[in-house]
Amino acid sequence: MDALLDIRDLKVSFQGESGEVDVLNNTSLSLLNKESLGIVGESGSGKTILIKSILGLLEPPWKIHNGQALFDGVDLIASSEESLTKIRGRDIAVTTPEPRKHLNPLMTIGNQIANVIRAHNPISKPESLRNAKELLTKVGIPDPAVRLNSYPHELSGGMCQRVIIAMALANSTRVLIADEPTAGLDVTISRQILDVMRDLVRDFDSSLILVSRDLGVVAHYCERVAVMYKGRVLEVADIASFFEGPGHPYSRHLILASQASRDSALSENLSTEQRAASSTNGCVYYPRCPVSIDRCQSETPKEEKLSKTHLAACFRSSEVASGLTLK
Amino acid sequence: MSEYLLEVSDLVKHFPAGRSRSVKAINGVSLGIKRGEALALVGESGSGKTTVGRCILRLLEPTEGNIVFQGEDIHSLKSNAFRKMRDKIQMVFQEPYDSLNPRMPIGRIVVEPLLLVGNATEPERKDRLEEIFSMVQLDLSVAEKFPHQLSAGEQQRVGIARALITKPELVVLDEPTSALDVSVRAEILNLLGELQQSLNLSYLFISHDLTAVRRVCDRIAVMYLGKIVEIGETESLFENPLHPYSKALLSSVLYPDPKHTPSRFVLTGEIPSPINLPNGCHLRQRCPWAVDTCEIQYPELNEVITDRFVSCYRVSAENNQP
Repeated sequence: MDALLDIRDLKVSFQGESGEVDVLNNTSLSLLNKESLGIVGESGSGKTILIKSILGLLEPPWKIHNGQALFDGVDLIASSEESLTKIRGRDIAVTTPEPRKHLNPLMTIGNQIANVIRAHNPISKPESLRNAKELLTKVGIPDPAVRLNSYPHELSGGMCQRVIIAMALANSTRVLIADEPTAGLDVTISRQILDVMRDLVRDFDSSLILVSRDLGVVAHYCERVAVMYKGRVLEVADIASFFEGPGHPYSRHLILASQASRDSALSENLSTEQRAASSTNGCVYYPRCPVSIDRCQSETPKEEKLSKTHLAACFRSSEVASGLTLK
Repeated sequence: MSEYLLEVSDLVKHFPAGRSRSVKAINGVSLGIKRGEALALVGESGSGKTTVGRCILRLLEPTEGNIVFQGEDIHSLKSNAFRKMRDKIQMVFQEPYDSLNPRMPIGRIVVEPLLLVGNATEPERKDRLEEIFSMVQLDLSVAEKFPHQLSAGEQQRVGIARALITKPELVVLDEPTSALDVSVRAEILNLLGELQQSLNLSYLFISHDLTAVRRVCDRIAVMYLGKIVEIGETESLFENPLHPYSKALLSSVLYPDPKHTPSRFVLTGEIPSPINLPNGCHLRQRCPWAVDTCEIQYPELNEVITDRFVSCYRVSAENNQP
């Protein structure tokens, strides 16, 4: 199947005072048409930078060294700011964690949504406000006509997240990128938000990239998952194979660490203890890996195919996928 | 002598909110924690769980009700008498970095409680520090460092070490893992579980992270708008929640297993403001089971099945699936 968004060999670094740090290291990832792809990873794994780089939102000290992000045959990385402005908010839209911070506190939410619509469509203000009201109904905000005139501080966190989703979908976006859409929300509200998002993405025939650190969210709202660690994609798989037999020790570690039962986590080595990486060429997970072999120190594992829909960047991926104990 | 180490009865805490209104954070909470038991207090934002924890530590004065620890009502004690008890009740905070003094070396942060209570000598304090560091699996070299030099996981270990250095009987854990990444969170949960076993500690584990609670706690109390709506043994409550709010809360938890898809129990709308509580049952406007009686009076907490207390008119031993 053809990819809607194809990220290839993206390398991004941060120019610090004490030198340059690679934040994305030849990251490749593709999003298929009408699918929902989860990106999981812990703080510092490069999830947010990946999104920002494909949208052209990185500024110095961040630097993109090489790579492409092909959307409909157009390379977003090489695109001018002018053409990106036309794509952002229309073809590709983003929702952010902490929605309240990303809403203008001095403008009614109706006007904010209407502005997003009018930035890409030549329609009148009253018409855009009518569309905004319709969107508020779709995202499940009660009394949409009244809420059009509300300011962000008058809404709860869950309601603000709904407004952000309405804005992102305002121009029937083809790719919705949701960055931690449920961070800071209570569980029952999180589920409401995720349901609304999933249903609307389906209605609009869009594709979804759901960035989350919560494997539970990804397990239930995505069709495929990509695991990131220190700027690399370590595993990409369909959800069923991933949770049945993850092919990377880090993925298995994450799954065990998120489980609720008392003893699953204790039976395997879940330590985050680090040993020094002996070479910059080795696997990024080598310093923490409980099943590493000599090769891992000096060679970066290539993605190995476990099945048509399951790739893992580990020399021992087939052993790990078939249940090698992590000791 | 009560079977409980800590017994909270009919606790009420209202905060003034101006114009003769008040935020009704806790509206009559009773609970008991036995020695060596871990009790979870779960609920969503605004349910009052943190306020309960703060009252137990006497960081807040309750509006009504008693908190009895080892037979003494802690809020009727004079402050210097209570100070002598402080070493027995300790707390671990939510934000590991924010709860450490950035200008103090770790070693000093951890022994500080010993300087405030008791009369340990310098060498005794040093021994105790070494002992506690090995318990929380921190390298002794960390003692020389400052908080910003540590990872979030190490910072939370320091928070735990500081709480345990006075050999407390009860530790109030207020969202101890919510600021941590998944793998660090798993380590801290395992550590908390091990320490509780080896030191026979009692925990009041306040959290909205239900999978964390399930890993560590023996019993679980579900709070909604300042009231406990259901309390019972953890596994049994997770398997079969009876109160409509517990059902909604627990069926919203997403487990990292795509095959685990329990049927959802859906409540409509959002939590009402604790300034304007609904009369009768606090959940009735959102509850699909609500009947006329629910509007009249708040339902009592009744033992519906063994060791399971539920506050709902529609749930009884004979009929717990209306």
